[in-house]
Amino acid sequence: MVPFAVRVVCNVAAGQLVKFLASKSPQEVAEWRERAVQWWKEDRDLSELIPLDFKIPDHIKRKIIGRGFVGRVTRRVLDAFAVKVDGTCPAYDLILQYVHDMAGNARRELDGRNPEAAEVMRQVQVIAAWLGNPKVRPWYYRNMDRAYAKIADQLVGDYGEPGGRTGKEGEEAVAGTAGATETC
Amino acid sequence: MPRLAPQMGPTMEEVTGEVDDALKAAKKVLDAAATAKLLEGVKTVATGDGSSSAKEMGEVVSAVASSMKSAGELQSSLIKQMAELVQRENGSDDAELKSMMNRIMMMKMLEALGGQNRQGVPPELKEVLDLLREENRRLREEIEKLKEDRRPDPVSEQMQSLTMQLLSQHISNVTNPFQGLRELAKMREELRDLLGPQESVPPEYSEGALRAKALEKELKALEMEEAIRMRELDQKERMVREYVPGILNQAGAVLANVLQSFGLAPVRPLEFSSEAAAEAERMAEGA
Repeated sequence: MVPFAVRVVCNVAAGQLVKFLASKSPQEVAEWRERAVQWWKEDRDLSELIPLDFKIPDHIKRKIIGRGFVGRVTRRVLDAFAVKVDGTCPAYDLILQYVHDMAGNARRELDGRNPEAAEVMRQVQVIAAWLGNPKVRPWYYRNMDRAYAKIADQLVGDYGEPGGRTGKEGEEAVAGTAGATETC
Repeated sequence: MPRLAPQMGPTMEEVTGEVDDALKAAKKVLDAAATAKLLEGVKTVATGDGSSSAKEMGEVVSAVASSMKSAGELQSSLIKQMAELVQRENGSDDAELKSMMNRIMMMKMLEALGGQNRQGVPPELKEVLDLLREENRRLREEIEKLKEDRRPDPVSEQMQSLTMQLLSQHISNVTNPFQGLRELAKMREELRDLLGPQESVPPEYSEGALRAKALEKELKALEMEEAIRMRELDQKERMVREYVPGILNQAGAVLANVLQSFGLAPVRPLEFSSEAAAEAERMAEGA
């Protein structure tokens, strides 16, 4: 079971990912794909490929983790995002499925009108299917856990102002979340 | 024997005068001739020309009775006077006793006269009395007959019972309207039978022919209505066949999405397009 809020988050994340890849040319995407396969073969960290060194502004953090209904929902989503069920991560799988479906819809829209963009969407679909392959999926889960920990650390750990979690509470929350999200 | 003290009282002559007056009055009243005359008048009235009414006869009888009563009263007053005289003359001398005895004798004579008058009923009076009895009986019979006549006769009784029966029937009809309606329908049927088929009506306008025509029209209308209904049903069936599966699929998808969005649906396994899945498999195998 994936909660509604987690689904929304997965949808947003998938949309952002598709948009990011859609801004690339087919060659760039092809290169990115080759590099990903290579890194998978070498069991390297995918976070080196995707820039995760961004900083979330404090006012955004305050809005996300602040008091009230939004803060409570955000914390619930963060807690539920990395939950694993029977050895699978439903939220991570959902992101892959959304990426594949969105790329497929876009490809159908672009077919015959913009072959290059359609080719990009096709390659995105292939990448999503590759990440969902049972052989590649554990590596994908490990990289997603690292990325999640980094984002959660920014959202919860660094944010110690009144109205949100203290730094210690954030660390505990991250630690608890990390404990819950065992590496696949 | 002590002698009675003389008392002041009327003289013998005065007493005798009074007795004489009383006797005169008695004779006047009880005079047989006068009585016979009176009875004769009564007889005349009773056996007259038949025009005498019962009232007149009653008056006569009443007069006779009152005269007889007067005679009785007169006699009793005489006796009373005699008794008073005897009391007054009590204690008088022998002469007075003699006069007293004379008076008693006179009284006896009066009594005898009265008895003679009583015994000596003339045959005319008897006849009158018989006539009166007969008339009385006849009158009684007539009164009985009149009483019987005053009773309601059988015909009027029958009429009265019949009236009551009709009235009750009318009331029951009023209180039971369905009975009245049934009777009305029956009367209508009878009237229709009376005014029934006229021989002058042509066969094409006879009741049967008109009814058959009306039935044919009704049948045609029903057929048209059936065709319209069948067309509507076909259209609805086609719509159902075409649209319902799609609507059901859509509704199912919406329901599944709603359930999934609330976390009520199981996580569906990853489903990728066959082309992407095949290429991804090649990429994974290449490792």
